[in-house]
Amino acid sequence: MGMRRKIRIDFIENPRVGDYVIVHAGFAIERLPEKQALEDLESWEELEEAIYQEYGMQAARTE
Amino acid sequence: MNADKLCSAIKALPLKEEVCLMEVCGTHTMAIAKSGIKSMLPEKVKLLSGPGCPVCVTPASEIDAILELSMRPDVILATYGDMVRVPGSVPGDNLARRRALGAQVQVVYSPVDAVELAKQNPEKEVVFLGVGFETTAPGTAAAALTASDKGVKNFTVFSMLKTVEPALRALMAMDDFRVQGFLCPGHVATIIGEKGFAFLPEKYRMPAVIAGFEAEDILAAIWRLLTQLINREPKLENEYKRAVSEPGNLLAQKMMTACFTAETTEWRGLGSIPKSGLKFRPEFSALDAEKRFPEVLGEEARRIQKSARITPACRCGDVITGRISPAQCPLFGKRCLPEDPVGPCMVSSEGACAAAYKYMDIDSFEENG
Ligand code: SF4
Repeated sequence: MGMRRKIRIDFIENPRVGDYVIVHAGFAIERLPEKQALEDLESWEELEEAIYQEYGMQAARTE
Repeated sequence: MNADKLCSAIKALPLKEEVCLMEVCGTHTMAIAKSGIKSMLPEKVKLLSGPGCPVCVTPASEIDAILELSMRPDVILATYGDMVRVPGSVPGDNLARRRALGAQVQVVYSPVDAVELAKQNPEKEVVFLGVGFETTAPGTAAAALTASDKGVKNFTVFSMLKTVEPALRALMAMDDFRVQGFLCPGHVATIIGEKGFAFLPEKYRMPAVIAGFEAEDILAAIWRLLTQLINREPKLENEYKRAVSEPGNLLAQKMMTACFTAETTEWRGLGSIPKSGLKFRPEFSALDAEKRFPEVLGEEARRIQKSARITPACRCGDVITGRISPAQCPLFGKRCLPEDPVGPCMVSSEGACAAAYKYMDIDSFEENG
């Protein structure tokens, strides 16, 4: 599955096996830690809340 | 939160007048076209493509210089794929055509591959065509420094690398600039950080949202931009926290500044912009293709070529500055097609014209009549 490719990790501090990274033209440009993924979920919730508060939109709520 | 809900939230916003928002990233251009976001938005919300596609902002004079260089029997050009079909100032003349005439042009995925190519061909000069923004600049620098560390002397880079901030400033200084909010490029922001876009609200009172590349990311960013406008509260928001931190990627920034300095450079559509081009520092001039081939790539040489060139009817310059949409170019879909592109915006899959054509942006065809 997927694709295997050699990439350079010059720009990743303390890289570890198993890290997820964003790759651009052969270089890893950022690590995607799990914590950030969670924060992102939170930011979606925060967005829903913002939309709801702003206009009381039922549609924006997750059922 | 899915796309439908975000669209209803956007439709529910109390917008009085037409609003133009601009995206400045080729990947956004493609994602927007592919997901059909433009047709999902209320009529009052217009999305324009800015100068975010690397080959689209490269001026014809540089392409002409590259075409000339390609004809040297001792030179192999290593390039990203979309550069191969970009025409110079003569319609139909591009690297693909030059290759048929004997030029050695090799498509690579990364500048690292270009260094390998140089190692394998010690009797040739390998020139890497370095286009792109802050996302590609650090890797280009790192690959070039590897070549010099490993004693690969037949490798140089023609740096056409550019930075986003000076271009946005130049755009906003245009008299007829009508954009009221920026969708900031997620991958550039990964490198330069949130702080790299703080100038937009701070200096220009311009709403700005750093966005990821899923349809939902983009719609959420649009909702935030419109909300900022309605509330008259321009600020910078980050919708792409999973990849973008406040300071950005410091190692990548360090590599970029160690290798390059910011100099005046020419952009298609925007003209000459001070401190917007990344050129090699003097101590790395051995890596600089402009220094190795001054008679072709040097600034002076390009100036002479520029004065001699004919300007084709392509309006890419107006497209990437938001003055017109692709379909308003008289050649769009007629004389200019993805199979036979007149300008760079129709060549690159990240170009606004190619994206509009490929995904049959309904708006475009209506406007085109
Ligand atoms: S449609 Fe073709 S000629 Fe017109 S602006 Fe786009 S690339 Fe240039």
